[in-house]
This record gives sequence, C-alpha cells and structure tokens, in this order.
Amino acid sequence: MAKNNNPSRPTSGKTQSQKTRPQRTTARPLVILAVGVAAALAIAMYLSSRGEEPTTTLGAPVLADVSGAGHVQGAENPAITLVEYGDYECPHCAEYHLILSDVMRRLPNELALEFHHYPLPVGPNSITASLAAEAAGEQGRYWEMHDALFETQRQWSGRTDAREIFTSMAGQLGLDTARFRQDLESDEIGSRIIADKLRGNALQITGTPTFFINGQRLNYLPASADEFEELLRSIMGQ
Amino acid sequence: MSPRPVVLLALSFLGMVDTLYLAFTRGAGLPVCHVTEGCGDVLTSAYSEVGGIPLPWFGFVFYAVVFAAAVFEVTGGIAALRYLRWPTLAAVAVSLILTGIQGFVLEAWCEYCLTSGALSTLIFLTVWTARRPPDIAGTV
Repeated sequence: MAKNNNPSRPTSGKTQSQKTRPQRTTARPLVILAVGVAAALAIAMYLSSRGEEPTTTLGAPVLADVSGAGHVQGAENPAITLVEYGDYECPHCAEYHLILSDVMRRLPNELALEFHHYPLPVGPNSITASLAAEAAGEQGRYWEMHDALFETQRQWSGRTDAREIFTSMAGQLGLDTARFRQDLESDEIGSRIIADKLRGNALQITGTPTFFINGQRLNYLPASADEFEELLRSIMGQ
Repeated sequence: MSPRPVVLLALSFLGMVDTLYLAFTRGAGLPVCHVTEGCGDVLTSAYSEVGGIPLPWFGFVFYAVVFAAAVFEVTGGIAALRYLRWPTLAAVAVSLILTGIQGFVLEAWCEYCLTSGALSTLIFLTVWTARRPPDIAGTV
C-alpha cells in the first residue's frame, strides 16, 4: 500500500471514504448461516418423517435355520415367531426391547419372540451380560434377567464392575447368587453364547438387532410399536 | 468472485441434509436403501457411534463448519476457507476408513453414508485445489 508522503495532502479524505464504505458486519452471514442450517433441518425432518415404506420388507429366505435353540416367550401357538439376534449392550437393541415388549402385549396370542445372543465385539460387557441372562435362565428366570439387562443398560454398560452389578440384579430377582456366580463361569453356558454367535455369523449378521420372520430377514426396522404391529398384522394377513 | 465458495455452500448444504436425515432416521426406524443393501446393518453396527454419539452427528458438525466458512467467505468478505484445509483432509481420511469398514468388515453398504463420503471428498478437492492465499503461502 502506498504511503501518503505529501504532508499537505489531508488524510481525512481516506478516513471519510472509510466512513462512507459499508461496514463489514457479521450479522448478514450469521442470518444466512442460520437460515441454511434451519433449511437443512427442515428438509431432513420432512424426508425422515415421510414414513417411507421399504420396497422389500422381507429379504430372501436364508439358507441356514434361523430358529431353534433360542429362548422363546409369547404365544403358545404363534402365527408368527419373531427371531431376534441381539446384544444386551447395544443401545439400539434396548430401544427395540421397549418397542417389542409393547408389541408382545398387543399380540399375546399371535406372536412369539425367540431371542439369540449376538454379542458384538465393541461392547466390553456384552458377553458377560449374555452369560448373566443364561445364568438366570438356569434358575428359571431368563426372561426376567433379559428384561432387567435391557432396562438397566445405561447403569452397567461400559463399567468394569458389571459382573457385580449383574450379581446384585440376580439377588433382586430372588436368585441364588452363589449359584449365579458359579454359572457365570460355566463353560457349558459359555458354549451356548458361542453357538448363538456362530449361528448369527452363518446368517451373515453384521448389526444388532437383526430380526427374522418366518425364516426371512427383516430388512426394515419399524420405527415404533404401531409400525411393528402393523407390519406383523400385514404378514399374518398374507 | 471464485465459484469455489458457492460450490462449497452447495456441497456442505447437501451434507447437512444427508447427515441430519441419517441421524433422525437412525433414532426412529432406519432409512430404506434404494441403491445399496445394508443401510440397517451399517447404521446399527458397532462402528456406527463413538462414545454413545451416532456418527452422523459428527458429520453434521463438519458440514455445518464448512457451510459457515463458505457463508462467511461469500457474504462477509472473510477468507475463511483457508482454515478448512486440514479439517477436510481429516474428514476424507475418516470417510475412507468408514468406507473400508463397510466394504471389508461389515460387507454391507449404506448409500447415505457413501453419499457423505463422496461429498466430503468433493469438499476436500474443492478446498485443496484452491490457490493458497498469499498471507499463508510459504508459511508451511
């Protein structure tokens, strides 16, 4: 920038021009930024709330047998058996536990749930939680522990003292805690978890929860109990 | 004026929509794949969140930062794009890792995640092919 070496040349002219030039303001970009983010939010909310139906709800029948050897609850002679491969430490599974519990209450005579363990490697307590459910099952309280594990997931997920927490939960369920501790170390119980995991691997499960209905993989997870019920009723009506 | 900031505005806006859509649908059902298979597998996988925070939210923050920089560049006369060089490089690196996880670990593809990867790559190229501003040229 050239210097003003002429002492007679007033510098006030430059100052004047600066005064008359529009001031740089951050207000305009901030408004545009807010409008842009709001527009993106609105479009995303619109798209995600359209309730788009999948083109294929159920995948092709899988070759491996998806059912059997899992814990089953629900209707004695179900029209539909929903097979779930889940991980007790997976947050998405905990969300679907609530949804499924609601759906089970709505379809008490039509629906049965068969749960299989699919502990993911990322959960430090996933396997221990599965062992806890099986250990409770040894004393006839599998589903009570299953429910308790999902409902209290935030309290034990990622903690180093999860085994103690599970034992405390077993005590609250009225189980023999000494036997429960022993069963947590049982090779036989551990082998059940491994068998489930291998079965899941054979089914090419990569995420949890994964559901199968009548041997077909559910490609689309309904967003609510209402949607899940609607889906199951539509399958029953076929 | 260079069209670069406008291009970045458009790309980052699409990125915000994409990541917000993923974040919203992940919390309420799952998005339906139209082109690929495996959106559900990818978005419920063990790699879909960090510290309990779903990855799409991290993506949204990145695109919002790019959008903000582009807005300031276009309207505020502030050379903000130069600050995006290393964040965009990091974003491309993360996108490559996540794409690798989809292909080699999960063996499932999520088209919305791939879209985000493509957008972050285009943003990276747009930023890195720009002539560096004279005030920082030679300082690195």
